[in-house]
This record gives sequence, C-alpha cells and structure tokens, in this order.
Amino acid sequence: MSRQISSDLLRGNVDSIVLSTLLKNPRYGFEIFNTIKEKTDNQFELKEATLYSSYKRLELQKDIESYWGDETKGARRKYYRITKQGRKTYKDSLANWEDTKKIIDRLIAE
Amino acid sequence: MMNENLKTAVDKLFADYEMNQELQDFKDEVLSDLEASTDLIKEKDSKLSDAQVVKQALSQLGDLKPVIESITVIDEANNSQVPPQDTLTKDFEIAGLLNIDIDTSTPRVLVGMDTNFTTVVSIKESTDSKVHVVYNSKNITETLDVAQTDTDLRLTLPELNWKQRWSPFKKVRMTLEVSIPKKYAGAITLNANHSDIKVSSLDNKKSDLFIHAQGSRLKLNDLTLNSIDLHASGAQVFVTKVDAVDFSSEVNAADVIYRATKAKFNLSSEAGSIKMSEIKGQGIFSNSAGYLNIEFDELLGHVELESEAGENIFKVDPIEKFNFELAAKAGTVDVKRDATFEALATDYARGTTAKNAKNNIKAQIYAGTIELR
Repeated sequence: MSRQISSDLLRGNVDSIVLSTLLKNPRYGFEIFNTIKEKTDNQFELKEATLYSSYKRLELQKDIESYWGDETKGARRKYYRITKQGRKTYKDSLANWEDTKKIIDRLIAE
Repeated sequence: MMNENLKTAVDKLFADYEMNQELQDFKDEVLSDLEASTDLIKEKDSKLSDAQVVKQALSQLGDLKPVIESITVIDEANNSQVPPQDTLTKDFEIAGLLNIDIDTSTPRVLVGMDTNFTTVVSIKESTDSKVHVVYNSKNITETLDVAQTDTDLRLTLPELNWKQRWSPFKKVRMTLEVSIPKKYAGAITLNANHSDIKVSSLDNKKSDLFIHAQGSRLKLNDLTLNSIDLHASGAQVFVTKVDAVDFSSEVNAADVIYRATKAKFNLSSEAGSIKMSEIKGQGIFSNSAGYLNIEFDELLGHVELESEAGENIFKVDPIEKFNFELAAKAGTVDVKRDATFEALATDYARGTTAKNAKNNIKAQIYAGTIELR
C-alpha cells in the first residue's frame, strides 16, 4: 500500500523530477531514466514511457529543448536541455512542493 | 543480433500507427534509448541471453501507447485552427446588493499536477457605479457560473473535468476581473483554491472582505475597508497599504507579509511565517510554532501576544512608551529596549519603568523566543 501511494506521488511530480536531473547538464532519455532510478536506490521505478510523456509536455511548455547529439561518439541520441524558463518552473514547483509537503505532513499526522 | 531484435520489437510497437515526421523522430529516440538500456542490462549481468535482455528493457520501457497517441492528438489539434476560447462580460447594478461571492475553490488540483492550468482573479475599483464582471477562458468549454438573487451575486469558476486535468498539451487558463464601485457597501467573499488573487484599489469603508485561500497567491493592495477576515492555508499572502478597522486573520503554514497597514488586528498563525512592517495598530497576536516579526510604526492601543513554541520579534518605535506584561513558562525573552513590564515568570526580562505609558504589550509564551526591540 505504501509503495502504491509513493509511486502515485512520484508520477504526479514527474515533470519536476525530470527538470531536476537536467539542472547541471543535458541528458538523453535513458540517461534521465537511469539517473532517477539511481537517485532512488532502485526502490521505485518510473517507466520510461511515463518519462517520454513528461519530455513531450515539458518541451511543449518550453521548459526543455531537445536536439539530436553528435554521432561521432557511438550511437546517435536525442538530448534534452533545460531552458531558462524551465529553471524557473523548477524553482516554482520546488516551492509548491515544500508547501504541499508541510500540509500533507499536518494532515497525515495524528 | 541484439540490435536486430530491438529494431523488430520497436517496429512492432509503432506498427498500428500512421507514421509522420514527429512519430518517426520519437521512434528513433525510443530505439536509441533502448540500445543504451540493453547495453546497461548486459553490463550488469552478462549471463543473460539476448532475448532476456530485450525483454527486461521492454518491461522498463512500459506502455508507449499514451505517448504515441498524444503525438497523433497534437497533430489533430494543430489542424483545428481556433482553440476553444470563451469570453463573458456582464454588468450588475449595486442597488440592494449585499454580497458579492467569488468562488474558485472547486477541487481541481492533485498534488503536483497544478501546472496545466492557471486561475487569475482580480478585484478592483469600478470606474462607474456598476459592478463589472469580465471572464476569459482558454481550453475549457464550461463557462463562469453567474447566479444572482436580490441580495447576492455569486460567481463560480467552472471545474475541470478529468480529461482537461490530464491532457498535458492543452493548458487551461481562466481569468476573472470584477470591478466594484466605491458606493458598494456590502460584503465581498472570496473562496480561492490554487489561484492567483489580486484585490486592489478599493475604497469601500463600509465593506467587509472575507477570504478563504488554499494554496493560492494572494495580493491585497491599497484597500480601505471596514474589515478583513482572512483564512489562509499553504498560501502566499502579500498585504500592502491596507486600512481596515478590523483585520482578523488565521493562517496555517502560510507565508504572509504585511506592509504599511493600519488596523486592529486579531491574528493567529500556526507553523507559518508572518512579517509585518510599517504597522499602525493594536490587537491580539497568537503564534504557535511559527515565525512572527512585527515592526510597529505606531501603537494605537494594547498589544497582546500568546506564543507556543514559536519565534516572535517585536519592534516598537523608540519614542513610544508602553507597558510590557509578560508570562513565560519556558523559552527566552529578550527585551532590547526600555519598557515598562511586569515579568510574571521569567528570569530573563529586564527593563525600566516608563511613566505615563498609554499602551500595554502583554505577552504569554510557553516555549520559544520573544524579542522586543
């Protein structure tokens, strides 16, 4: 049961999670997936398909941009980088999350 | 061999759909990501057969159908030229009107899913003697609900249905502008949930403003009113240049800033942060586990503080004389200026007696800190 709730929460915040993995450098799809997986010590797994939906959404909102990478180093891959607006979106959703967390804590506590 | 297996698997995933450029691009992306995925699976367990590796990679991939279909949906959306848009403009006479009720509280938010829509409500002064309502919406077919009786005008923003909530490519935006004439003497009630609210430039000395805000951003600016009653939870509230006879507020985990405001306050905060500056006023402040910082420009009467495990800082104009009455059970009270006070149970407070002091500051603290400057 607790796993179920947690993965719902994860899915609900997937856009912010994706943005957070792009703060430092651009990454390609599977790399983002793997970063998230490692960040959670393999405890929770979002499907790659869920992440693709998020990339599409974020790209449409101009929070991220995509480009096909250089092929000289092996496989050709599609990379995502965060935009200036994406950083703002990330900051805002982080603040929202902090607020939400506080409220949920209060609501769930005895 | 492995790459051939993967290619066949991906071809199968996209087989039912008509290819277009965007879908082809997505297909290429999925294939290249799957290659990276299988490389990693193999690296971790070299004993797995190619078929097992591909199977594991596909299971991590999950169901692509919604993404693929969303790409097709986008194409359809691009073909239909005009997005659904709705504008509604209405005027109302104020004769007999006792209450203007604005409701944006229809439950429409799930945790973390609030990026798909924006609700903006603005209440301001009308240039003539009527109430004007202007509503604009984008990507939502339901419209503003207007209900009117002899005494009440009720404006309710529509609720998003599930499809609108989960359709990430169509951002929903609703804006509501309500202009209220100076002559209006009734109440204004605002029930807000995850909205951007701005109430500005109202000069309605007989009006009462009631606000219930949840998870919203609220700006009250340049208002002269009889009273304000504010309940906010998880909200951000900015109050500037407000003059009200009574200002009561109950905030819970909210971030509240008051500036240049004059009122008789009755303020209670739980686990929130309240910063007040250029305050002329008096009243009762109760703070439990929150942060309260008040800079008084002028004391207009007695001030009473009750605090439970919070941090409280009071700054009072140095020329102001006041009596300070204190009851502390545990915690620190730091009085950094001369004040008349009566310490009931603390070994920390010090000060001198100010003769002819008009006003009292009375504080009660259970644990936490009070600083008086």
